[in-house]
Amino acid sequence: VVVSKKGQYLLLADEDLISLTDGGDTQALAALYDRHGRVAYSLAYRMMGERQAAEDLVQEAFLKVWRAAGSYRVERASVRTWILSILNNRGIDMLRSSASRRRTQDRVEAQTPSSQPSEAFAETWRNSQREQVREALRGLPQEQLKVLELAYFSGYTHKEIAELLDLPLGTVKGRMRLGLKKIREYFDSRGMAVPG
Amino acid sequence: MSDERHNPGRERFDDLKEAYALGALSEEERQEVEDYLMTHPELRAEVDDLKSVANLRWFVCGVVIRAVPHSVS
Repeated sequence: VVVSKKGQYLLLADEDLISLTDGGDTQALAALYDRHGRVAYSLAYRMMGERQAAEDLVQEAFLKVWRAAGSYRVERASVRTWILSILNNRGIDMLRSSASRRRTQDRVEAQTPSSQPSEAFAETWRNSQREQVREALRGLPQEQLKVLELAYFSGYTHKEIAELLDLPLGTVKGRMRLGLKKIREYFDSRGMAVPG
Repeated sequence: MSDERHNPGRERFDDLKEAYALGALSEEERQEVEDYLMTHPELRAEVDDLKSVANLRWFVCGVVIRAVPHSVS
């Protein structure tokens, strides 16, 4: 039976492809991309919210896979989970930078004395709401906040979160339920509407 | 036992609704919830309320981002 070189890669396990990638085999990296690029892009798009940024994030994540293939440890996570973790971490870095730029822009705009009174009031109101939400989130146990973040912000499904955190699916669902309930109770207990 | 107490569809909905509000279901599960909501529109308000709480994250994404450790493993 004659199998093309590309066909040979299709037969290899992810772990074997990582080993080959670590040895400088670009076709192995391409095979990993063929297998996991679509879900990576899906996650990236959900994180970044637009096509170009999502493509950049996927490209950076696979570049990191190329450079760091030797650091992969099979006993810690599947290759897919490892790649998505790299993408998640890089995506958070990119969003942090973006948030920092927004804060700088907000400061500059706040120092500009051209705002009309109604605009200033609206901004004060928004800041007040933000602070309330921050306080509500600060009141959550870290494990609940992490699950909410991974679900909503990073775009993982509950089953993927269970795999990432090595938790039973029921525990993940329970943390989602409790986390959302506590946020709701924070506002209810103060007689406040949930900002929207 | 009444039907309400043994309602697999409702139990399944209750099991998935938070993950649905957070956008954390597979496509198949999401469709399952939406199909259930189509036949039980009275539950829509409950889901909308969960979504409003879930959406709060966008108010303070910077805070949440800082709260998330670099490594999830």
